[in-house]
Amino acid sequence: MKHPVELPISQEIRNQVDKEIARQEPVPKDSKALLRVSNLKMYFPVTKGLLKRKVADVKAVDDVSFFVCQGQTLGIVGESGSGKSTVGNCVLRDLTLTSGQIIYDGYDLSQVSEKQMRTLRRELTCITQDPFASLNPRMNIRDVILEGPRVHGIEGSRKEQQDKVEQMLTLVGLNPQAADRFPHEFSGGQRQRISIARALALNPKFIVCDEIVSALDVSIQAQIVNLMSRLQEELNVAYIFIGHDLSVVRQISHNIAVMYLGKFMELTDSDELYTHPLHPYTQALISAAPIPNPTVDKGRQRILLKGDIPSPINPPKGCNFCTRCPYANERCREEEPEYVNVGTDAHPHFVACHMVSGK
Amino acid sequence: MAETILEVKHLRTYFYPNGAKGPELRAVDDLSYEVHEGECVAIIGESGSGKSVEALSILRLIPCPPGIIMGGEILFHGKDLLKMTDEEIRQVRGSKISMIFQEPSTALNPVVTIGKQICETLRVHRGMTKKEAMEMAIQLLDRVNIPNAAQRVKQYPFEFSGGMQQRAMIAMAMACNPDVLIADEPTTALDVTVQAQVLEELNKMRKETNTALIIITHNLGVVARYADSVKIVYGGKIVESGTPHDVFEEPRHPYTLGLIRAVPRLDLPKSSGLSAIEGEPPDMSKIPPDCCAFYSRCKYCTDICKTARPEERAVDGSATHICACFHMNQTQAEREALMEINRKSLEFSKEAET
Amino acid sequence: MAKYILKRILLLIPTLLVVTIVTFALMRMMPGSAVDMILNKYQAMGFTVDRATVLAQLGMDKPFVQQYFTWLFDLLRGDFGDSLFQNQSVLELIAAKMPITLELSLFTLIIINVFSIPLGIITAARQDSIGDYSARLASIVLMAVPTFWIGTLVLIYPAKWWGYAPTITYVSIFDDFAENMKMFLVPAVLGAAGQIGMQMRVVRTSLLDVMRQDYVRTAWSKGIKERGVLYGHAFRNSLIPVVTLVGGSVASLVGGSVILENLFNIPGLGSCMVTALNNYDYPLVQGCVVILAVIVMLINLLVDVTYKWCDPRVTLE
Repeated sequence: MKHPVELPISQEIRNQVDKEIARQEPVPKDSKALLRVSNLKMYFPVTKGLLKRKVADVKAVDDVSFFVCQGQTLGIVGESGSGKSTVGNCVLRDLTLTSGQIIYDGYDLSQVSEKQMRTLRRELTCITQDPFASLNPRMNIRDVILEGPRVHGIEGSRKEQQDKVEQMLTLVGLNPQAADRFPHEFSGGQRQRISIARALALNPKFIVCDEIVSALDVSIQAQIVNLMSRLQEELNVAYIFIGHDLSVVRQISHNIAVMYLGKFMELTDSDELYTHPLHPYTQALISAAPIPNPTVDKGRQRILLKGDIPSPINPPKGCNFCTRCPYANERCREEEPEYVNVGTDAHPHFVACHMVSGK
Repeated sequence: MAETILEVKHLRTYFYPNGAKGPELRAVDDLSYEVHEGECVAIIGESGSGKSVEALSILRLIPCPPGIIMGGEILFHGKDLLKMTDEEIRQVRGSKISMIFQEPSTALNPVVTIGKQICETLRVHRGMTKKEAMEMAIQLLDRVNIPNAAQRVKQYPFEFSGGMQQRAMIAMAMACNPDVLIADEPTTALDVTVQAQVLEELNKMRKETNTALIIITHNLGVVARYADSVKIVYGGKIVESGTPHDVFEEPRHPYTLGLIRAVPRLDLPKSSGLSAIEGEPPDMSKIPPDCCAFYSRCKYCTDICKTARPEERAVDGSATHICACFHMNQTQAEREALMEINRKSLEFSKEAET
Repeated sequence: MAKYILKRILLLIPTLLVVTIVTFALMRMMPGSAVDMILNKYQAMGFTVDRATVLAQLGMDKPFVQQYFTWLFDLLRGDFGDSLFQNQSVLELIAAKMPITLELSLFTLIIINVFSIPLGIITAARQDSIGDYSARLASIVLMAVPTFWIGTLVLIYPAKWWGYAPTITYVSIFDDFAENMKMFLVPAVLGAAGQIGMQMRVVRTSLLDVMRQDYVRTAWSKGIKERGVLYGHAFRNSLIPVVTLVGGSVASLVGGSVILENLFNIPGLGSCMVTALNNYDYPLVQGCVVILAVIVMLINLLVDVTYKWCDPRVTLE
C-alpha cells in the first residue's frame, strides 16, 4: 500500500540535529530499537515545612528499562498511581529525569539541548486522554492541525496547508469539509480523531498515546483502536500505548509491560503475556478483565485482590505487590525480587517475582 | 416468580436545554421494564443513551429545568412515584429506593465525615439518635469490609481511596435496607482490580438483604456475571432485553451484536482488528421520533427503519427475550459469528486448564 | 493547628518590619513636611522660630536611618510617641478612636451578614422566582448607589420633613445604649448597603454552584429534607468565597470610612488618620498604620483558619 502521506522530513531533521550536536559524544546506534530506555528513575520530592525540607521521595518511576522498535508498539498497563503516564512524560522530556538514560534514534534525550529537543519533537509527539481538554475550543480544526507545523515554521504555502489539512482529516477518517468547524461541534470519538490528526501533522515516527481510548464508549473505542493500528501499518510509526485496560492495550501492542507502583512487574510480547502470565498481578489483571459472555465469564478462574494500591510515597518493603499478592510469603515482604529474563533472548520474558524466578 | 416491585411504564423524560421553546431532547423515550424482588437488572447503554437519566427519573432527581418527565408511570409496589407529593417521594428516597453514583469522590460531600453522611439516612428515615446511628454506621462500614471502621467513620471522604469511597457509598445506600438499589456506573471510575472487589461487595450485600439491584453501565462484561435480566438501551429506548443468555449468547438486535463484538476479548488469541460499530452515537435532539434511532449506523437499515419506529416484540415466541428491530430475523450470520467466538473461547479456556 | 497559628503569628514580625519601613519612608517622601507645618503655625501666631531648633526638637536633624531606628525601638518598647499637633500620645489617641471604629465595624458587619446570607440562600433555593429577581435587582441598586450621596439624602430629608437629625455627639454604648444606637444605626446601615448587595450575590452564585454538585444530588437521593440539603450539605461548601469576601470587608471596615465618619461626625479612626495625614503628623499616621496592619494580618489569619473549618481538605501549611 502506498503511503498517503509522504515522509521526507526525517532525514532532514536528522541532518539538522546531527549538525547541532556534532560536538556531543556519539551514543552507539542500535539497529533495531528506535527508543531505548535504561534504568529510568523519576522521583518527585515530598517537601515539608517552611524551608521545603525534603522528607521523602515519591518514586513515580523506579528503575524501568525497555525499548521500542520502529513501527512497533509497547503497551504499558497499570492502574492509577502506577506511574505509567510518568514514563510517557519522561520519554517526551516533559520532566527532568532523576536518573537513567533515554536514547531516541541515537540521541540521548537527557543530554540534548532545548533547541535540539524542539527539532526532535517533530518526530516525537503525544496524544492525551481527554479530547475535551486538549483541544483549544476557540481554534477551528484547520488551525488545530496546522498549529504544529506553524510552530516549527514548516507549514508551507496556502495551498500546501490546505492539502495537509485535507490529507490529515481523510487519514483519520473525518470529512475534509469539517476543517472550518470548532471542537465543540464534534463528539468524543471525533475529537479524539482530531487529536490524532494533529499529532500526525508533523509526520512523527514515535507517538506516546496516554489513555487515548479510556474516555470513549466501547463502540467508539474499537474504532479508534482500529484506526491507530491502521495508521501504524501505513505510516510505520512506533507507539507507547498507555492504558489501564489490558484487553484494549493487548489489541494494539507488540510488547506489553505491566506496571505497578513505579516498577515493571512483567514485560513480554503480548501473546506470551496472556497465554503465560507469570506475575500474580498480571494474572489478577487478566482475570479481572470483563468478558461479555456469562458462560465464559462464570467458567473463568477469578483472582480477587484484596485491599487497595499502597501510596507511592510509602511503598511496602520487599516486593511492591506483596500487600495484595495471594501468594506472598516472608521473603516477598523482606526482599525485593529481581527483574529477570525467564524467556529466551529471542523471546524475552521479563518478570519480577520470587515465585517465578525461583531463586 | 418473585413479586414485581418496580414497574417502569412508557417513561418519557425530555430535556429543553435552550428553554421551553427551544428544541426538545428526548433523553428517555417510551421506556418500560419491570424489576422483581431480589432481582439484578442490568441496563446497558453508551453515553447519551439515556440510561442515567432513566435512573434519576425513578427517584425524580432530574434537575428541572431543563429536564421534565413528560409521561409514563413508575409503579413502586403499585404506587406511582410520579404522582406522589414531594414529601411522599422524599420518604421513599434513601429508605425504600436508594442510589449509588458513578464518581464516589464527587458523590460524597467533601466537608462532612463519612460517618455523619451514613448517619444522616438513618436519622432521617429511622429516627435514630446520633449515637445509635453512629454505631449502626460503624457496623455498616464493617459489613462492606472497611478495616478499622470505628476510626474510619470520623474521617473525611478525601482520606479514603476510590474503592473505599465507593464501599462507603454502598454502606450509605444500604443503610435502611432498601427494596431497590440503583447503581449508576458504580465501578466506572475505579481501577480494574478494585472494580471486581466492589461489584462482589455489592452483589453480596444484595443477596444478604434480598434487595433488587438495578446496575446501569456501559460495560457489557462487568454485569454478565451478576445480572438476572439485561436491557440494552439505545437512543432512550430499550432495543433488546432478556436473560443474560438471551442477550449475550443469542442477541438479535444489530446494535447488541455490534456492541458485544466491539469489546476486545482477553479470553481469545489476538484478532487482527476489532469489529467496531461505525458512525457516531446519535444526537438525541436531532433524531425524529418516527424512526429507529440506530438506523444511520446499522448495516441492515432499509427504508422502513427511517420512517417507522420498531415495536418491542418477543423473539421466536420466547417469554423473556424481547427485541425492537424490523430486521431482527436477518442477523443470523452475525449471531453465528459471535457464537463461534464464544465457542472458541470456551475451548481455549479448557485448553489453558490442561 | 495551634502550631500553625503560632507560626503565622511569628511570621507577622518580618511583615510588620516591612510595613514600618514602608510607612516611615513614604511619610518622609511626601512633598512638604511637618517642620513646614510647625513653622507656619508659629508664623501665624506671630512667632519666628529657627528651623534648626524645630528639626532638633523633632529629632529630624539626624540621618533618616537613625530616625527610623529610634522610632522602631521606641515602638518595640510600646512607646508610639506623641502626636505633633494634638497634645496627646499616639496610643491615647488610638485608644480613644479605636473602640468607636470597632463598634461601627462590628455593627456594620452584623448588618451585612444578617441580611446578605439569608437573602443569598433564599434566592439560590428559589432560583428564577419573582423574589429572586427582585432581590437581585435590589442588590444591583445597592451596589450602584454611592454611599456619600445616599448618606447626604438621609441627613437632609428626614431633617427637612420631620426635623429629625441623628445624634452627633459620641456616647459610649455602655453609658447610653439607645443614644449610642441612634448615632450608629444609620451610618452602619449605609456602610453595609453596598456590601449587602455584593455579598448576597456571592452567596447566591456560590450556593447555586454547589447545588449542582454530585454530592448534593446524593443528599437528595437519601431523602433528606430541603432544609437538611441546604444547610447540612450545600451551605458549608459554598462558604469559601463568602469568607474571603467577609475577610476583605472587615479589613476595610476597621480602617474606618472617612466619608461616613465625616458625614455623621463620628470621631473614628478614618477621619483621625486623614487629619493626621494633612498635618504631616508623622508619629500618629505611623502608629495608626502599624496598628491597622496588625489587625488586618490577624483577620487574614482568622480567614485562613476558617477555610480549614469550611473545608477539611485545606491544608494549613
